[in-house]
Amino acid sequence: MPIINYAGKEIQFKIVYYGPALCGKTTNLIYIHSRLSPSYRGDLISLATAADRTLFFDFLPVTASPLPGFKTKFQLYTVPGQVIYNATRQLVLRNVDAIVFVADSQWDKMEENVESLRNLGENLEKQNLSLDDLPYVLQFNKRDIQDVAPPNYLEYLLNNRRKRVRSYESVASTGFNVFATLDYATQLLLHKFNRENKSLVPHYSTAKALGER
Amino acid sequence: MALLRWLKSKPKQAAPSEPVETEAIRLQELPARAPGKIKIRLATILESLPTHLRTQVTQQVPDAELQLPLSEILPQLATGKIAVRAPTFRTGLPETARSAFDALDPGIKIPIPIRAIFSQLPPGTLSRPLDQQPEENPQKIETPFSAQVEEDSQRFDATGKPLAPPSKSVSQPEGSGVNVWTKNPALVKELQALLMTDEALDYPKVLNQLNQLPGLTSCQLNRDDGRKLARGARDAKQEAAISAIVPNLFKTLDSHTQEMGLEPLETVTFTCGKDQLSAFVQDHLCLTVLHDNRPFRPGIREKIQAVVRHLARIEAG
Repeated sequence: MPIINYAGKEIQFKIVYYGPALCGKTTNLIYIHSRLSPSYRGDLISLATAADRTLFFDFLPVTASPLPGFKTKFQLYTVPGQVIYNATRQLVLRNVDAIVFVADSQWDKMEENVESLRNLGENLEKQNLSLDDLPYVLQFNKRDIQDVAPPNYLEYLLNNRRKRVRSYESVASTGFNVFATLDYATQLLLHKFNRENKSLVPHYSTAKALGER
Repeated sequence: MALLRWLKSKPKQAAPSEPVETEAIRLQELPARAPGKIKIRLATILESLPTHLRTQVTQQVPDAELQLPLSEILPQLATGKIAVRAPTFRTGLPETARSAFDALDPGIKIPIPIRAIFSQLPPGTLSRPLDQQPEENPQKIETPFSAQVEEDSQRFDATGKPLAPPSKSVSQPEGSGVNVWTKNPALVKELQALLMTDEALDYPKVLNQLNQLPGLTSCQLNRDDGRKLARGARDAKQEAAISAIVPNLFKTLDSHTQEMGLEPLETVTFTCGKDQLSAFVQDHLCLTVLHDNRPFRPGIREKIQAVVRHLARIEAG
């Protein structure tokens, strides 16, 4: 749920990158951080182990004004993908506004992808949330690796819920479709916000982006 | 003894697996007993067999083909993992290959690589749930990330392959590139002399020369807005992190040292366990050097500083 500060005219949205271990969640954020102007983003805070495995989360704040009259902060988080860190994933998912599910396209990661998506659904349910009601997009990462599962199998495995969601094939290490994924998740999030807060931002559909505040 | 009893007993016909109960599967019409079999080379299965199962294969296995009923395979597709029980596995083997697997515990399951059977799946197997709602297609609005989407669409083709670098390549600064190096021949000559080389120089070649200096493990050159001019770090993730973090960190430190009444900051070294990272900043350029865990050899730091000063002058045109 977005945090709205009426006095300060600020809205805060939380986007969480979810997925199995080593699928590319942190790589997504590193790329996003490297490509955004320092004027519009904060430091990338990564709490990782010595082996570069995300221990708690990665956090990247992005400031913009896509909604007229309001300064908007997008807080991008990743979760640790390893099975043992479920308690941390539950904490990071609190008040989530949109989800990017990053799947590993390698053949031998399919079971982990399925399990991670199931885990996501389970953790959301604990907060009385459902993937069917949240802005959410799929990213099939590591498409540059030889001999990966074809997109139709990944769709079959992961895009089989009541509502079909958009998916992007990506190579997070080079940045291919990293921003496309994030942009679409943000669009869904903003549309949902508009539907639920019409009185707050009546003309947001003509909002201007960065650099034209 | 239990194994012997099992060996002597007539092999029972494997019962079809129970379909995996997930919400997704329930919505789809999967054939309960799909006709037909799939064929897999035994060698493919053995390659991906876990070690604890491989030790149960008692003999050299002939190159054979295993046949498995589709009714065993299809219900498991949605789990991302397929495995068949040992009796089913043995039944699918030709007679000549079965004895090698006599020691297999009948209770275990043999993993079947999905990639090996994927092309044999019947048409229509991977269909969408019949009552699935279509994808949302919201009216397009500008987001803080729309500009980067547009830029990235110029950098890659539809399959994600990087295209030939456009004029705003992330590896070259604006208005720079080859022209910068031909525009300042005198400066380039001085740089060649400094690096003791006759080689025609550009950013990557300068970094190659710097990498030869004793104690250095890798170098990376960025502009202060994070754009990479020449690569160097050991892996892409470290490279991206250095591009993003070091220039800003240096600026912050520089502003603090000036508040202390000191001269402008020239270099900074971070000692992190066995790694040392030094940053050299001049104008808009930031050279980051990873080196071994000792001070720079005499003259090395000064040499690197001089190179960065020359690069900054060349880059400024």
